[in-house]
Amino acid sequence: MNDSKAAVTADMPHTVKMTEKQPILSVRNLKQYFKIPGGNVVKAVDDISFDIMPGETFGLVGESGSGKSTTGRAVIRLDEITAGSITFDGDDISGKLNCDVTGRLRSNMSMVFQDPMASLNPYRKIIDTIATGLDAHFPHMNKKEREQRVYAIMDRVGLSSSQANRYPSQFSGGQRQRVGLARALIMNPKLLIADEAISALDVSIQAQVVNLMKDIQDETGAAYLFIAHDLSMVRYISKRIAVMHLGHIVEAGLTDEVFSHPVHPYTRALISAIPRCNPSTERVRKPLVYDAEASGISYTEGTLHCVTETHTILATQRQYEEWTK
Amino acid sequence: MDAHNSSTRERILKMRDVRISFNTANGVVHAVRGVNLDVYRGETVAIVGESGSGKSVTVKQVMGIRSHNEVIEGGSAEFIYTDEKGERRIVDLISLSDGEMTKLKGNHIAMVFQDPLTSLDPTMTIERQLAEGITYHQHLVGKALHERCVELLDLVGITDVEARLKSYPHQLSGGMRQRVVIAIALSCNPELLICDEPTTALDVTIQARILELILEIQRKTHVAVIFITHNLGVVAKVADYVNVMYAGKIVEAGTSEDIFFDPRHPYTWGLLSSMPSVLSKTEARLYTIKGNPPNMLNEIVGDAFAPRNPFALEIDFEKEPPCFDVNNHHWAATWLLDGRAPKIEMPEQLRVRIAQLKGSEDIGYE
Repeated sequence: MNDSKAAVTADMPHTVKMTEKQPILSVRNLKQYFKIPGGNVVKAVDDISFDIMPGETFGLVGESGSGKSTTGRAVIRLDEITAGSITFDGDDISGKLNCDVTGRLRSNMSMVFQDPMASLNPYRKIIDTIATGLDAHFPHMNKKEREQRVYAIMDRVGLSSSQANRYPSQFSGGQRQRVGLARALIMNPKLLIADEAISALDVSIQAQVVNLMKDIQDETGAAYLFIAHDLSMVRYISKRIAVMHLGHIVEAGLTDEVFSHPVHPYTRALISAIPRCNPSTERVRKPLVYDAEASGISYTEGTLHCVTETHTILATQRQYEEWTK
Repeated sequence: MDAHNSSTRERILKMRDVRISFNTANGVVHAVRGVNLDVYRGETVAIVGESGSGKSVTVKQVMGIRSHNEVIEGGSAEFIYTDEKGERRIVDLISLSDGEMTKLKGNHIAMVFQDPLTSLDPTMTIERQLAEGITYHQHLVGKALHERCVELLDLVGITDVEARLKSYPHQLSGGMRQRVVIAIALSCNPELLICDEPTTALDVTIQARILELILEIQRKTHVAVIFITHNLGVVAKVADYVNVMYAGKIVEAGTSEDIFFDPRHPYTWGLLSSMPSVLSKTEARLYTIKGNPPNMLNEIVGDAFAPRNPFALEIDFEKEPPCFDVNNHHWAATWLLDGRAPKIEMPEQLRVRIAQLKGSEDIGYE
């Protein structure tokens, strides 16, 4: 069954079409299991495959516990993966890494975390925090140049260079997230993983940070793996999205396609659950309810079906026919 | 909407000019700077604002939850309720002693907090936690008490009640825990329920169900609800009235329709525009409110929003705007509504979006 899944992914029409442009990241049949006390195994990520093209934003959405953060952590190799292959920029990074590949991986892929306060060292000045990447990869860089690079990136994310010698506690939440972003961007990564990077921020500040991320992408051509549970923000920033539930990607496709014609019942429930900003219709609207157990949908039985060339869902043949009727 | 008919509405909370500050190591923080708030029976009043705007501090006055460095600079919060003997009583919650407050808390006023896991005691079964308030205020024991607990869990839509009553909080899912917290809040049939970001920690699908539950309970029990949130979609779902709060003041208030379809304050414009739309095609760029909220340690001269306001007039930096009435249930504190101000309309992007919203017949995917 796994083979059939792999086959569909590899021969997916859009992947073939886009061969003139190689994906920057290609994940195949990724599995991430965690052993928990009592001999049980949690299948946090269970056989997922996706591609990210250079310069595009790929959104990964789902509820908590769906495995979206685990996927992000597996891709940047924070956790040892159980099975599957991850190819990043031509290098296979799923097995044991050699020195060469590690260096390339560490400088070309970076991550922004959810809680800006928890991800910054409170005892380090932010100039040192931002320069972490430089210190690791260019330990002999002279002080002047290091400073210049940090100031340039601070300027880019909308911080003033006069703030370089401050500590994280002296910044507001939005500014701290900009520091996190600056640290991630200083090595000019080809892929940036943003794990719920804006969830902890206020609405007005979220918009600022998202706009900034878009601008930086236009300039540097970095690809983003944008992990979030807020679908409206994901819709705004992503070109393609994948919806995860219980460790499986249940639906993937171009953002507009998925939002305007969701096929999988889970996606439909998820989109319908977002409260709309319209009091007169919202009060009476009843969101769809989806219960994986009650509906009897078993994700492990499903295979990938293409709704359109770019839009895929995880379903059995019978379910597919029923949903697309 | 018959809610506007004030003669039939029964006011249960009347807050006037509440001012709160905190003594901190860095100086005095003026967290709440003169808030007026009215709550009527059976209605939901939402308070929207960014973190630090003072919305939580305001409603905590109603519950008498105060920290050690908190200073009440003035104001009153009249609460009107019917006591055990069936008499109508009016008390000022701000000047109430702790002992008197304890009689009201849980009994007439109840609160639901953001994180259900931290508001439940991990060492007590659900039944014991549910029973706590009922035993204290209504002196129920034995079978009657147990029946009341079963009834409450039924009310909040929990199935397999007997088993759940014996469980501990860690054995329940996040949505289930929040249902239990709501059941505890409702245990003594309060007149006023305060919900402080009750769904922020939950997933969207769970959030939708908890909001439905709160609406349903309100229909059944006619409890008045104060709903604090920063999510405007949630406001649209539950609120009858909306108060937009910025830097310790309410800057605009009105019915949900007023705020969503006819916003007047530039801050409300900014809030509404910076929410990405779920329905319409993606816009090229999200509108952002420039800058950061003001530091409440400093004294604020004029309109607190002026430095971030692209439509700010000169007077905004000098004199604080009074409240201008738009109609009898909608007002905003901005100089733009003054007769002498230049005529400034809401940003084009927002106007288009509101027009789209009004026109759209979106009722989910049913």
